[in-house]
Amino acid sequence: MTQQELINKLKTIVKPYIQNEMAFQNMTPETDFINDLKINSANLVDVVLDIEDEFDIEMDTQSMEKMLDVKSAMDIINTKLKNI
Amino acid sequence: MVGNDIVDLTITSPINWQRNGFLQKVFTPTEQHYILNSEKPFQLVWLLWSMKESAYKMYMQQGGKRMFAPQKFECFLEKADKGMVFVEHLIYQTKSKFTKKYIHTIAYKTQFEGITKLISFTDTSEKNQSKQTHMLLKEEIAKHKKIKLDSLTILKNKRDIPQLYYNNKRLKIPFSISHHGTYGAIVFCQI
Repeated sequence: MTQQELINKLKTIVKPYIQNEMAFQNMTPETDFINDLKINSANLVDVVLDIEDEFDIEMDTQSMEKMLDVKSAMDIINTKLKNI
Repeated sequence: MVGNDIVDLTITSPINWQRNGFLQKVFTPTEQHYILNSEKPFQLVWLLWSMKESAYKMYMQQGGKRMFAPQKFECFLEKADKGMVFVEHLIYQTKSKFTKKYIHTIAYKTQFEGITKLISFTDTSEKNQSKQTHMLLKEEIAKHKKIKLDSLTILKNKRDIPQLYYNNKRLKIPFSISHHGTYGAIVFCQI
């Protein structure tokens, strides 16, 4: 999977929860889930669970702690996928 | 310092927390035990959630590290509407108000003396809600401190924490803003 494919998959995952359409359209690795996409924190739990389902990985509490922006999410997914 | 969090119960469907894995991701084993043995698990989930969130806001104001770690904020309830949240070496007190439609929690160090105001939105846009809660805070501060509304501004600092300015000079009034669904809330301390 290329990094662009990964971003696209993440875009599909976060879409139902975003509250800032413009930031969503321009989503990059630097995009922050809460400050830019305005995802409320309860929905960030849903994003975590959706990522687990989509990539068939388990996100432990240490990984979840860093789940604040797209880049961190990509790093977590890439690391977990490598270790499978 | 003060933190607050509001949860709109009309938009948090039970599906959300009953989703497989939700409780395990958010709550400690003790908290999960409380929830699963409660007569009102739905209310308890969001009560504990709002305790964690309001404590997190205080923790951030105190220079805490930004993180998404709800489990690290461990809740204890003394009464239905009063509790404590432990994180690292810090302890916060919380008090909550709940109705059928919302739960609102305030986190503070030892006691809270201040103003709390809730607002109900008709507009669902995040941007407009944020504007309205900011305006509410400024109006209340202007009223209670007897200062000019027009000279008040709210700006975020480098750590994304909102701060109050009066004629471009920082006002050190502890406050906290939150919004969720159709509700917004502001609190500030009277010092």
